[in-house]
Amino acid sequence: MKNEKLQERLDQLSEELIFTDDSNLEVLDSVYGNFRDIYDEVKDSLPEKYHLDVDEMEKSKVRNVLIESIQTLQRFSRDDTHTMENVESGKDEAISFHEKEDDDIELFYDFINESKEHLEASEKSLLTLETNPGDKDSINTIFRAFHSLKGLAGFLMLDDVQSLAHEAENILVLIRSGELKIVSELIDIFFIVLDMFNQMSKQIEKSLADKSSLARVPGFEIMLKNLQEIAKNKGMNETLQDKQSDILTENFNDTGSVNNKVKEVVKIDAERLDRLIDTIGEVVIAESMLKQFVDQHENNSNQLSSRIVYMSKITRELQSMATSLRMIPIKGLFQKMNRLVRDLGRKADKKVDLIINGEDTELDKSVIDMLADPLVHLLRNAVDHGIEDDVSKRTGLGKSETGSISLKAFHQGGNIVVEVADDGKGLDHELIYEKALQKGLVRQNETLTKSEIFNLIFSPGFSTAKKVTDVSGRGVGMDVVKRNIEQLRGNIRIDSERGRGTKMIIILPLTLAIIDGMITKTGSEQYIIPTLSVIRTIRPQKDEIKTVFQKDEVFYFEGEHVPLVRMRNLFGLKQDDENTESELIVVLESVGHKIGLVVDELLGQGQIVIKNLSNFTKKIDGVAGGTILPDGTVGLILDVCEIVKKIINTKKEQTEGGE
Amino acid sequence: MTEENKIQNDEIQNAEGGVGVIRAKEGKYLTFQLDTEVYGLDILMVQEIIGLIPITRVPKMPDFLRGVINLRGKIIPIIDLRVKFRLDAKEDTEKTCIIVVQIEVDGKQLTMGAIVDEVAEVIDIRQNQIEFPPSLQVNAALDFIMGMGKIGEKVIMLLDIEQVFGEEDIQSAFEQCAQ
Repeated sequence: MKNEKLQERLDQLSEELIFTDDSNLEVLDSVYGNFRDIYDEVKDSLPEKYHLDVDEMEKSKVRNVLIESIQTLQRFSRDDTHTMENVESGKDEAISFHEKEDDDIELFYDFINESKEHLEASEKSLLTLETNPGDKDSINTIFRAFHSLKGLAGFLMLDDVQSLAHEAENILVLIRSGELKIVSELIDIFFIVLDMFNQMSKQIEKSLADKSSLARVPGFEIMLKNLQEIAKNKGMNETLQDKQSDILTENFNDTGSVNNKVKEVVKIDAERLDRLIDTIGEVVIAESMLKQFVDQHENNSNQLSSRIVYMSKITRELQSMATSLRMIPIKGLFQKMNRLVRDLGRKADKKVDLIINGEDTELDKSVIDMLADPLVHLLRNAVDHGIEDDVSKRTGLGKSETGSISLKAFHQGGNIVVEVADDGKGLDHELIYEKALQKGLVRQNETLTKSEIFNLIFSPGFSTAKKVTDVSGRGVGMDVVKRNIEQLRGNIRIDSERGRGTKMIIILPLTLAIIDGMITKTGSEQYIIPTLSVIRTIRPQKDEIKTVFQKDEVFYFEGEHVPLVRMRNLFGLKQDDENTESELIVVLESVGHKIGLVVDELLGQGQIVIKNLSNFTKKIDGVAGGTILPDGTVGLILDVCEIVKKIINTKKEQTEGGE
Repeated sequence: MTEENKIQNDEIQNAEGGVGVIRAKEGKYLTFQLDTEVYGLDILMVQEIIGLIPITRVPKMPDFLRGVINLRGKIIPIIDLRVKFRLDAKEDTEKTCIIVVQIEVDGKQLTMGAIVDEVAEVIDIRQNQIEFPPSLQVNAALDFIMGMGKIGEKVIMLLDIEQVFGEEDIQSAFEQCAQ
């Protein structure tokens, strides 16, 4: 009898559960309550001797319910439209920012910054705990972070933050005292707690910006309730207070040693920093102008030139300092990827390890900011498509069951290289070729090298994913990755072997403000070519350049015919002073194609400080930006990517038109 | 003429020949020579005057855009007003100079340079010295003129420099290049 009734209720519940997909939190709440009731009924209906087991069962059951609610929470909290709705409903506890004094506002911004640091530290520790649940340091770090958050929030009367930190702290106390075991679900919960903190601080930031009332983040009540539930299940609430203080004293004892290691840091407004760096750039230019002037005027005395050498030294130092000011370690970004891979692995139900190397490598902050999206995409691809779905396929090839993805950053000849490598199934170049044929990206009898085929996946709308999943495989992606990287004046290459894995190699400049450039001259005009895209410069013999269809020129370079384009034609320079005797071919590569650019001569090579080409002029065809040359005039920097694309496209159109 | 009469006058003229209105306000104007004419520029727009320095040509730009220069580390575009106003081309002389102006186009603050034959002086023009722009039906440059300053025998064309730089053909020229 009872069983039937239970069955009925469970059915009813599962229907409601489906309904929770609509992120109806109240329903979820009641479902949770119902599960509790069912559990009580089950418990009552069983003889006493099983009660102990049921307690175990309860744990897992509560855990399951938690996971369930947490999943919904996650869905809920990531959906912005719902956030808006809840913003309205949470008004009763709101703090209003519009009447706050400026000084107070400052305090809130400080809180946001500080909480960011605490949350990042906690996330890192959580990840450590996941692989090493006994790691006391990590628990302490999280505890300290939450405790600081609680204190700060209390001071600023951010009640929600305070109570969330408080509840989370309570659980940590239980973990610390060994009364609650660290299970992966618990770590999941903490990750979501962190997400919620992040959301809260975003909410605060938003309210500060538009001086609105602070709204409660969605799912807050449920989260609080869940946390209390976990703590309550151990029945340890009454002793919490004492234990907490125990742990506190212990923790504050070891903070001393940690703090000593921390370097003294001054936080600077990014805008001021930019202005400083700009000004230093000016000094460098002024210095080189002066130097050139002195060099050109032979009457310089020894004294003068020795002083200029001294000044050069200082400006060089200044410049490298200016560059380093904006440099931050890539660590922060890499750590976020840790979390991402972990979550993705769970979602795809694959065992994946992320191995990080070179996280101390420093990069321009803006480069790091812009690198985040492409990196997320590459890692998604690696987990989703790279690592095999079927574990037996891995073991069959002698690989370990757990997939491994490595994320590496290192210096290489003035550039930074970021590598994302997986040991998964690798790219299937035949499949890619076929797909490209279907999409009309290649022609039937076109023969391509392996790397050219791999490069096809960067074409817009190209996707070989057989199934579309929640995380990747929507046909957008690699082209965006490529574009993002090129915006950073970088390059991306693919190295892949079937069955062994895929390696994505991103080559980036150290900074966005300075590039290595070759200064070329054609006619009376000087153009700068970013060295990164130059393969070689060649002084061609007359007969090496061949004419196709009596107008297009090509030349033979390393086993392939490379289309030639003359700077004069490209930019409509004056034709009269043509000087074919000394012409030079600069072989450029971008978007997987090579072209030869014919210039008159090469003037030199050096660090080029990139300047905006005036805010008025929109993007000029084929020009990426400007710079101030040592003689004080403006030099234009070529947009190699755009030029190569244009040449390749016109070539394609011509051949297609001819068929 | 009273203020009221003047406004009426405005309207009549508008109805007759579509001459436009006086947009120029009284104040200080920087006057400069372009070909045989004298133009005036609201002094508040002028950032500085510099001698002619080497200009870097920018490919595929319209003729009147001479190129870009380095103004203490900032790259600014330079417009040749002679070409812009369809005057005969003339060799640069030592008197040729660049007036650097700060203007606002589409809500953006921009710094640009204008090449003129010669800078003359800064003069004070009162409202009652400002008259209507000339009524020339086919002169496309008319939009640039906010009014005519008459001081004694001198006639000064008061330029609406934002109109010159914000003009559609300049904008479209840039857009063309962006394609």
